[in-house]
Amino acid sequence: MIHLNKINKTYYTKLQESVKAAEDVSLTIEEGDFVALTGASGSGKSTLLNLIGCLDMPDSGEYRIGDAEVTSMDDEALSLLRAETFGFVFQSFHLLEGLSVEENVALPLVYRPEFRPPRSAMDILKSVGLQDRGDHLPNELSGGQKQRVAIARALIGDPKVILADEPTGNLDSKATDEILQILEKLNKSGRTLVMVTHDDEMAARAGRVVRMEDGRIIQDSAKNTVEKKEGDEVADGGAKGKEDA
Amino acid sequence: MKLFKMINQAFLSLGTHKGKTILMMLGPAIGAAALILVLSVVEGSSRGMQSRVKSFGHANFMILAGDGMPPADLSITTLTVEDAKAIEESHPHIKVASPGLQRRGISVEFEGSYTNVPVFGVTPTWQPAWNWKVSRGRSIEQEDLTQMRRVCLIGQTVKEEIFGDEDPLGKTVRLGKSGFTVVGELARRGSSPSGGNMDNRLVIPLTTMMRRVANVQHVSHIRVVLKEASKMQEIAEDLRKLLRRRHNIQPPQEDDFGIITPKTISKMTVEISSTLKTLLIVTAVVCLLGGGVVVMAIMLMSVSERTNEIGIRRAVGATRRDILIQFLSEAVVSTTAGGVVGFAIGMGAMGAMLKLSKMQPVFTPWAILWGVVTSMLIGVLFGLLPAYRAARLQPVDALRD
Ligand SMILES: Nc1ncnc2c1ncn2[C@@H]1O[C@H](COP(=O)(O)OP(=O)(O)O)[C@@H](O)[C@H]1O
Ligand SMILES: [Mg+2]
Repeated sequence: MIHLNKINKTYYTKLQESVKAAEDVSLTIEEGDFVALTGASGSGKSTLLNLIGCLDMPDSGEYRIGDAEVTSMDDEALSLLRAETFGFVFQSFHLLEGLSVEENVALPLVYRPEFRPPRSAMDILKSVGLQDRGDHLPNELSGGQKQRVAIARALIGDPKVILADEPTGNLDSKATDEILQILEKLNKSGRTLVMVTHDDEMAARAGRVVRMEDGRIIQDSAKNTVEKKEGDEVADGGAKGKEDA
Repeated sequence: MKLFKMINQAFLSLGTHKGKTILMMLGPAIGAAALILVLSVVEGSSRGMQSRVKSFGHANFMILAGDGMPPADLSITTLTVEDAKAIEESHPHIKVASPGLQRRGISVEFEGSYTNVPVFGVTPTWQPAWNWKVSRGRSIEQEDLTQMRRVCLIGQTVKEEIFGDEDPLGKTVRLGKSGFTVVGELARRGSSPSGGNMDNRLVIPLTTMMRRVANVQHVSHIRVVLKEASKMQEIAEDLRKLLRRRHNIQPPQEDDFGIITPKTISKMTVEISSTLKTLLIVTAVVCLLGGGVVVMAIMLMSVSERTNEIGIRRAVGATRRDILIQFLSEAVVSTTAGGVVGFAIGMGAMGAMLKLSKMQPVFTPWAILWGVVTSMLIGVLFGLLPAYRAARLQPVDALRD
């Protein structure tokens, strides 16, 4: 359902240096996939995830969701995609501190007043084990709990795709495990999951591992391709991904 | 529906940033208060002027000893009963010229009750000239003047204060050292347009006033009533020449009297209020614009502090327009709230003015509308740039830590 074809994105630093954060990236993700985006820090994982989630626009290339061409959409249509199709989970949670947990979960509904969510904010909070925290403020919660609130918020709009950027990067191992289990369960129930991680062990839990380096995809376990010379280490990761698949 | 939800969001975030919200309300509040005040004062003074002119009469003059600013300057002794006579005979359009002598704060006593009142020495023409009615007893008559009788007419307030429920007619009050017999009661007249109590007065024969009370040869004012309002300016000019001649005033000497026409009265009230008007308008404009700049500064600060929030909202589906509307409504809601607070302040200040000063601001619905609408516009005007900045952010840039 997601087709990226030769996507490029260059960032310019304040010193006018250019960084190719995505270079000729082509990637197809099918409905129900669990894709792990891995690679070293600065390799372009977040850039790619943001491009997929329409938080950013590519400089060139094609991007289709279903049959719709994303690169020619206006702000209204892109916002609608973010509201309906994608649910975001970020490393630093990104909750609004002034709103209660329940209000945070319901925030997306502010921008879709005509939308009737299949499950209420409280129901979703219940499904992530936070039913008695609805009227708390985010800063009264632990990191793992905050991330569960963020997941609940991502789910209220009933999105097809969950995009998670290092969702456990700020969590201890116990919370990491909880969050991963929740995400895996979501994937099992049919949602597409794209998760950025630089942890190979976590990547190994995905059905498909896409590895990046310097803005390029150097390996995709679905294609079992190794595009770069520094093959050893990469082939290792690829093999792992394949085993799991 | 969506708009309503977003304005609700604006309220929520204004609630979490109370300090800033109050700062944003401040300028528009003071500005709106000043604006509401200026409009009410202007309205009040124009109504006051109308009623002053009306009660002055449109076909009348007042000639005052001194520079013409009431009250008459009592140290000027040149205005006389003969002047009044000469004026009356000078022009066929003049119905009557009634001389009078006024003294303030004279103590009146009846059986141990005292009060201080202005006392007016008058001639019988005083009654038609000033439109006074005598409700009980009789008026001042020519006989009273020729015989310099110690008789008086009593105002309703004076009656209440020193007689209470007693019938004053025929009783003797003590005025200074001598006793005066009350021969009549003045009909109640209420307060004058400038706020004075018209019923707090005693009226006695002019000759008695001049010889027995004040011991002077002059009068303090002459009331001139015309048969019709036309030719008013010409007649005023003729009277001025006449009086200058009679008082032996040569140019470049100034007049030792002043002629007050209905026109002077309206000019006077307008001049008083226009100074205040300018002051208040300047205050209003400065506060509203200053408040606007404050709103813009705070909103710009808000936008950069809340970049992350903007990113989050964009990520969950807010369009640029949604963000614009949210920040704009934050600005508009706080300035409008400021305007409403300003309305309350303005009403309070109006109440204080009514109590403490001679100004009579009149509450006008238009003034509120202006005050509140202007503060609202200030919110729109100065909130637009910050809101636009917020809306222009790319979601990914707004979300960067
Ligand atoms: N807004 C930006 N301005 C300049 N450089 C950027 C910007 N965003 C990302 N980059 C650069 O692009 C590259 C890829 O970044 P990112 O996608 O965040 O990597 P990852 O998520 O894999 O750590 C990095 O070199 C980063 O410094
Ligand atoms: Mg990253």
